[in-house]
Amino acid sequence: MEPDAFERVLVPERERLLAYLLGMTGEKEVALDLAQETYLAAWQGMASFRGESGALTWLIGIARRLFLRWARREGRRVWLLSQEARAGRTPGLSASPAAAADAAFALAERERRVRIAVFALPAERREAIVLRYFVGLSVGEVASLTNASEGTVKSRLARARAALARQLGEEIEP
Amino acid sequence: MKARGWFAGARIRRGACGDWETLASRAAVLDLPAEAGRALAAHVASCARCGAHARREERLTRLLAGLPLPAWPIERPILPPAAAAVAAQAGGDPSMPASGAALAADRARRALRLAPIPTLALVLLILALLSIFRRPAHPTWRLALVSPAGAVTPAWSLAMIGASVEPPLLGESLHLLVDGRDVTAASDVTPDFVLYTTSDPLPPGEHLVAVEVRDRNGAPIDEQLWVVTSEPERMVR
Repeated sequence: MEPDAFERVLVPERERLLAYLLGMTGEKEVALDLAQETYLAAWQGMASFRGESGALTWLIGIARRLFLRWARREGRRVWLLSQEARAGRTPGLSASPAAAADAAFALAERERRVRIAVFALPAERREAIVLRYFVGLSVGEVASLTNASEGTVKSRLARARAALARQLGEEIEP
Repeated sequence: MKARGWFAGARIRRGACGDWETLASRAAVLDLPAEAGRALAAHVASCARCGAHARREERLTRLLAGLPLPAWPIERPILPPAAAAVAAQAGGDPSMPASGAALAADRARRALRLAPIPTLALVLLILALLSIFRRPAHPTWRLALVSPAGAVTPAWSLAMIGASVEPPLLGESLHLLVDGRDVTAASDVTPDFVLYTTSDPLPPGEHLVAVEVRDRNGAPIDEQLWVVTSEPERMVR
């Protein structure tokens, strides 16, 4: 990779990288710390990047390993956070009727509901949803990143979508 | 050809309503998935329940894919500040050290190399005085990945992962982690080197290698990370 490739190719992917880490950790500060660590490791390992995979896929591969290391260290906290999300006890989850009248607030509130519902999914299904829809990778790319077959990824996506459809019932009613 | 007869009676589930349909037996049965797809599309167009299900699925996809990407805060640099400073000075030198201590040392070395001789002497004198009166809590180590060369290993043979530490450790301990797993117990460790040979070849792809220096109580005080790539035969030069 050329010397300026870091700025030109990897830095523009920062928001999608952050979307992955935020979806997986559920905490913005932690996601930002891990994203910085990812960029540092990527900067050091740029020589080993030969472009067989896309820059974003390579970056997310590094982020995934850092996330797994973090999750092993903070396992209990992650579990507690997802349990809170599953029980819908996250503070500020429901909006007051007056506030909900405001369109921008309602939009933010809907986004929050979706993020919480995704965070409440089991880790493998959550990762499939985050990579496929939040980051925008193809099923093939998700499969190669998570060392699973495409069929497995499709199955995880289908089960996750069924759970989300139940959780977000009123949001997706035609 | 006998198989055609078996497929001829195949039934497909048509949609969310749970209805089943028996496909007509003709040459098209050999093209069962396509035939099934056409039958399903025609059914969804006419069935109210399946139509509503399809619309819900579409709305769910739009809801998930339509979430805005989180913004990266302006005040937050992409690289940690020390690394960014070295990166700027190095102009893209990929051998940049990672830990805060190593970065500071690297920056100081660069500054000293550029400084005129009187300034250099003065700085050395100040450093000598400081080292007499105030010993640092722990020395600065330079951690380097020695093996595999170029951080690339072939995916068909066992990988040897080696790292050196300079100066040698006195009371501290050296730990090696591969993809987050502590493999120190299976490694050869000396005060200035750690070498680990994998029991199986590393699966193709990138692997995160970390070397930690820990104090006498086992608390990490310095760390460096590398990405080691395990490559299939045709890609290794």
